[in-house]
Amino acid sequence: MRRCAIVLFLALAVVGCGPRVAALYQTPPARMGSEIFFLTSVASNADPYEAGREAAEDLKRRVLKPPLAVLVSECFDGEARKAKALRGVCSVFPRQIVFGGATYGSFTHAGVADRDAVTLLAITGQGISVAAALQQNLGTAKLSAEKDQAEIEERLRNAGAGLVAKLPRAFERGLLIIIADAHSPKNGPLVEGIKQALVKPFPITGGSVNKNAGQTFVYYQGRMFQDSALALLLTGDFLVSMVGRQAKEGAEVVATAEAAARKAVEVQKGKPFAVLAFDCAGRKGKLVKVEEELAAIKRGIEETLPLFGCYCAGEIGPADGPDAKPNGPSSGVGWHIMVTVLGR
Amino acid sequence: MTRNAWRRLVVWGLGLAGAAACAGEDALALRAEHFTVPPATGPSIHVVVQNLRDAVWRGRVALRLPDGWRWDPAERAVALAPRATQRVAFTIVKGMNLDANRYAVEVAATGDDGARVVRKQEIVCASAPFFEPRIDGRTGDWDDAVPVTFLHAGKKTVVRTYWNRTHFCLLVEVEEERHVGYRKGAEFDAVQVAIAPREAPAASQPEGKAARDEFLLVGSRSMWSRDRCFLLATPGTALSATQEARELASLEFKAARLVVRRRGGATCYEAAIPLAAMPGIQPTEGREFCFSVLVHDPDGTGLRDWGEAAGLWPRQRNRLAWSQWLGARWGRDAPFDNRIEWGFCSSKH
Repeated sequence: MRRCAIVLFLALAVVGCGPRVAALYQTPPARMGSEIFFLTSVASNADPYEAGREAAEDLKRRVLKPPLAVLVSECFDGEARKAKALRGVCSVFPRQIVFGGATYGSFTHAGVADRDAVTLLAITGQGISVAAALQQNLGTAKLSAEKDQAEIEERLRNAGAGLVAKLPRAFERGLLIIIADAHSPKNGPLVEGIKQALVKPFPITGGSVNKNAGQTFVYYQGRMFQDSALALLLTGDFLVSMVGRQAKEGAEVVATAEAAARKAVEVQKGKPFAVLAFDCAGRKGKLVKVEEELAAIKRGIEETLPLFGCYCAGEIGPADGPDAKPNGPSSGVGWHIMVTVLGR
Repeated sequence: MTRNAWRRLVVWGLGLAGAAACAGEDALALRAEHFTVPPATGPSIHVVVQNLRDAVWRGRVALRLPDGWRWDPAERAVALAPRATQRVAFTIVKGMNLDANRYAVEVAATGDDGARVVRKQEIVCASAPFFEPRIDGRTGDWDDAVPVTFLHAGKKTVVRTYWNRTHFCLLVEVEEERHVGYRKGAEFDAVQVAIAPREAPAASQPEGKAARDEFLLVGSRSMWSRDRCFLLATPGTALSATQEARELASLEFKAARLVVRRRGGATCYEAAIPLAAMPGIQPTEGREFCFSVLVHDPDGTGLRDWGEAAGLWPRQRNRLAWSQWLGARWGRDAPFDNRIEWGFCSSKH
């Protein structure tokens, strides 16, 4: 009896020490016609805490109202340094609103930040609502594609469906952003599961987090999770246009980036107010000068539009192909740049 | 038969043999390059096509990959100027990583005249995942590396590589009966590696400069001496200097960490080479570079050359691609060129 009590105490202690997060994070419903703001900030610093804090301080100075959510993309090496960067961000913003993932770097109008940097996107305004949910224990990290392909696909489909089940049910217009520790090609079945659970077609974008050993973190409410997927649901009276383009060689990487950005702006029926780009880290590796791709994206959009981009290990959006159309159904793929333009 | 008659017969015979060889010679040389990131991620695969004739070659190049894979396009039209070489890209639409890391491929080129050249190869994923191993002689933390295995004279060599922000790391397992450690004035076992940027030019003229970093990894002969890494060449080293059999003592590169251990029937060379010593190499996920390995086993199999196993063409032997050093026993033929595709990847998973 005494032994059981000790075991129970230890189990509760362990559970109590785990990250405590809300099953669903949700802000008040969006007010039609009210303002929406997207703002970005970047800080590079060898000290990860300082990088996180500097980026967050800069953002806080510029946002007029407290953000509904802050999306983090950071590229520090190792769990300890990533934790410090996240702590730096959370020293300025409440943990509850901090989401994101470990990436291979990010880009904004300010440039490419792919070493020891934190990039933030603040989402704010009464015209937009944010809901977020986390699906833990995807359970595929230790499985082999050669031997366990069917099981991997089944688990990820179920995980995708499970993620959607945690989100609020009533939404018509908006954008679903997925940040997952499920790398291309594993992001394929994950997105299939999400789409099946959504039933109706809905714009989905996002990326897979860094898959370097010891770096595969998803951030949910300021906490670090591995083997997990995060869904960030943005709703409101805004319009979404999405274009995905694939390339595996240097010159094509640059050309497809410009084409994707230009087309996403062109097919946006409203007035663009923000651009999101989930880009493949492998594409970056094909460039001698990584800035060339960013320059190409900037040629395709207006300089005044906030741009938040990150380099991922798999991308979610309308896949490229012979029959690809803008705003086509999303899937989880690799070697893509997925550009999303939000407008009203 | 007079002596002149014999001479005429020999000359005639040689001429006939030469003509036959010419007639049988392929118009093209083909080689599928190795994957530089895991194939399940759907990378490009490149086929190198060289026109061996003094006339323009026009035709189609097609690729065949393992069953169940999909790639695009099925074939590509190619036009090659006389003696020209071209790299033709195909996209893997659906591929799979195999634990054995061996992929059977077939490259076929069909000329507009209908002549067909086919090459069957076994290629690998030649890639270094991101990881920071302990260089301690234990090999447990190399399970997440991608093993590249090749056989020479019935003995196995396995090369594994990692990279991180500060080091390029490698584990070379050399199957051999016994290990002969470093001793001045004697022949000994060693692993010689060359690393260069993807676009590095060939070492073609003795009066030229090297474009590679080249290291020699050597185990100690006794427990009272240490394993050593020597720096044989850096970009800019005169190629003529690399062709002199140099004494190694003055070339020691102490910034590298190296542990050489016997494990089972193999000698394991585990090394971490600082990337700061190789500023021409830009380590980032998805980036390609050139890498090759020579295994010196003078008392066993002789020289083992990754270039040969990697499927380079016989004409790609290049003595200038590798440095000479005292203690080496070279084969009759020059080793193969050191510029073989390799990549930095994120993870093999």
